[in-house]
Amino acid sequence: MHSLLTTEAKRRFASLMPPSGMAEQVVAALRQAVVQRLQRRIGLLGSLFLSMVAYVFAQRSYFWQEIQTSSIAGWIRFALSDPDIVVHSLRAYLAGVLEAIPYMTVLVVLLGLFLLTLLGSLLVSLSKANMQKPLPSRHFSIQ
Amino acid sequence: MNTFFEEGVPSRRLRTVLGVLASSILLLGIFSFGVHVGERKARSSDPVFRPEAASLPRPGRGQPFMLFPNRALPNAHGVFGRVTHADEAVIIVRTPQGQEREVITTPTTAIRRGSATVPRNELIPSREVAVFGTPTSGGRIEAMLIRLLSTDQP
Repeated sequence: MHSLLTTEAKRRFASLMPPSGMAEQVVAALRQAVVQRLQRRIGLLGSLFLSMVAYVFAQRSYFWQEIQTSSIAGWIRFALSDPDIVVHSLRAYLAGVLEAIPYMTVLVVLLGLFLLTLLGSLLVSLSKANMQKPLPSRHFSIQ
Repeated sequence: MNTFFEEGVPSRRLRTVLGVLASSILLLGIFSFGVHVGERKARSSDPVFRPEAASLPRPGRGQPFMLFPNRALPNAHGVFGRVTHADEAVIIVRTPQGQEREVITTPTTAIRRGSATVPRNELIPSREVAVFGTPTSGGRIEAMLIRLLSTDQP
């Protein structure tokens, strides 16, 4: 009786077991999904970055004029040459610096840096994910 | 969003850098908006500001799109340019962009060239100067410091 039950249980458990290699296929499918997600994000961010570069190029005269009319370099020189007066009138000095900032140019540069950093990091993540070759998914794939 | 950053940007240090950059962009965006609002208010309410601002070059005008265009308005706390006129208490400085600013000098105004303090009579037309001061009514600057630039040393 004991032996019969054990055999029956073994048969049932065997029918419930997943096919061999299924775990690897699941991992491969998950990795593939991650790669696809990364590729989509890189595409989106890359388009955004290229659009921004095209916009800056189209508006280059504005940005160049903003840099030229900004007196930020003069304010920095004040801090270096006359720190006594700058420290004594710090509020006025800071107001002057804030007025002189070419803020649209700085904003565009910061935005470009942000997008480039994010893009670079995503590209590194993608190359790491691609380094592990995915197993062929014969039975299914998770999208 | 959190998953996005954990999956795409695994390095914690890089996430910090991105956070700092994003915060700076946000702060600068708020600052630009504040400048834009302040400029609009000044343009509509200040009778002194209006005619001067109207004659200024306005980069960005006629361009396809610029969210908060920087109008290159004169700096209220300083001016950099060449002296065109000098009398007892007032000098007029012309910027490279062609704007003229009146600068009031007082007995406490420091006038310097290099590390030396120079007398008031050194402020003569055609001298290149950098002025730092506080704004007064009428768009003038009360100078705390006038620095004679080394390029035009006698």
